[in-house]
Amino acid sequence: MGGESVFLGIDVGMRFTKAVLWDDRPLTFAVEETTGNMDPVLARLKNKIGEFRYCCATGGGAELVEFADIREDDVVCLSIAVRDMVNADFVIDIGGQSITVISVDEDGNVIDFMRNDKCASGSGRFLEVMSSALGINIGEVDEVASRADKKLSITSQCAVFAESEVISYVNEGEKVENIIAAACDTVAKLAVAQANRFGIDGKYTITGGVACFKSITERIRQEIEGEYVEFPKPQIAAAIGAAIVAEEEFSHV
Amino acid sequence: MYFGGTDVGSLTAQAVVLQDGKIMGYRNIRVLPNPVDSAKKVMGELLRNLGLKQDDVIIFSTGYGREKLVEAGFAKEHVSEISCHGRGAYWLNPSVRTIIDIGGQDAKVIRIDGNGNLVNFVMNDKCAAGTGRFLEIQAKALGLSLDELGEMTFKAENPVAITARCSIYAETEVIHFLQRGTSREDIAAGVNRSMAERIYYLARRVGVEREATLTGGVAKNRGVRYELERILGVKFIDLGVDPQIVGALGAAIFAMEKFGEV
Repeated sequence: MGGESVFLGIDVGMRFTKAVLWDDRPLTFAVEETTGNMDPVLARLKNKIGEFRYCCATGGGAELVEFADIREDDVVCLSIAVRDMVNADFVIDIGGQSITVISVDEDGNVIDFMRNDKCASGSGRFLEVMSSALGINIGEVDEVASRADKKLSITSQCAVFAESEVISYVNEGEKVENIIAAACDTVAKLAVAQANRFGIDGKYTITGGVACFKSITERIRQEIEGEYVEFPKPQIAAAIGAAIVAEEEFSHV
Repeated sequence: MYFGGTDVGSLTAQAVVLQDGKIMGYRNIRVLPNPVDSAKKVMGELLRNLGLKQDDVIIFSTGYGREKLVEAGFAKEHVSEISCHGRGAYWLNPSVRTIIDIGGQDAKVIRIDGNGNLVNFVMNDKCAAGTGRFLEIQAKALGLSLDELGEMTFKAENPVAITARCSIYAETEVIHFLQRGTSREDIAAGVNRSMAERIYYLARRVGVEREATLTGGVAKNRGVRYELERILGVKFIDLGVDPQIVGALGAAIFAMEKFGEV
């Protein structure tokens, strides 16, 4: 095989675009913010990743990847990735602008799925809005939330109204760590509600950018029965799936 | 005898004073953090302008904190916002049958009968889409004031289609349009149209009669008003007053009807 048969998976998400270089396993990956003009973003990703032979694009903006040899739906890509990487039966994917719950068969095919992408409630954007209102860098959410010592609750499901609740807490003198912990609780609660509506009965994993936050995944795990398995680098799961699709399609070419 | 009403919203608070069945004066301010303080401030300023003392006026309260204003001894009674908007609009123009009130953080569609009695209503206060907050977020992303945003409907050539319902996702769409070089006029006009569509879907749940009026802060956005008239196929009745004072006016009318000597 060698360098000539490496595959590129690109997932153009609503918030971030992820690229994975794959040759039977992830070799390297890169992440860039999705913008209205994607050409420079894709150029930067290609530059970071290096040479590849075939590319599969997925995600809401897959059409924007003009150099892709093939495109595949992100629900399909996620299913393939979780079966291949962690052998899970279910995946809860919490992305920048969606929550998707998928059941996956033994061969990595989608059995059924449920998605909310109409509303920021419980998505990565929800967490971003709250952390930004609190002046916390998104990367510091886990560390700050781990210092919480008082339970607060955010009652609005709407991210805009929840942001107002967060600001009210700040004005009342509540500590930032307790407020961000309450925001993590809300994101977890909304993910659990969706997972329970779908019904999870087996081994499951959590993917998407939000799965990088332990303060959220741990809260979800407390509420969902079934064996949990951690997905390594959960933000690039769909991109991995796309790379595998490219490999399956073109490895014999 | 004078009768007063206060209405505290999420962003603004209003007070109205009636004398001999006529509006003597009104005032509209930005809210303070506490709704009781907001009501006291707006009514206090109005009474000072009118040269009145609080003891001269029987006050009814509506909006946020309306019960607390009664507990605090400031208002004699409190009335729901739905009732006040219905009553206020009917008093100004008895032909009105549907009141669409769009505030900073909620939207209501109220239907009343030929006697001004409430028939049905629908309200959204769970989601920022279709409320003033939606417009504020998009105006900020576009670098426009709310007034400027409203005017863009009449300057646009090809309004864009904003597909997201969620205020936050719509903001992302707006930013992406800007990054692609779409004109602010066309994006802003798309925002106003999208806002009108959200209200249309809410209003459809109770139905809208031809004799409809638009109240609340968003009624001052000419673009949304125009798009909403187009999509509903109605021409809104002009109540002849500031559309933000209808709730406070309704509260004052309830006070007058209950304690007036008429």
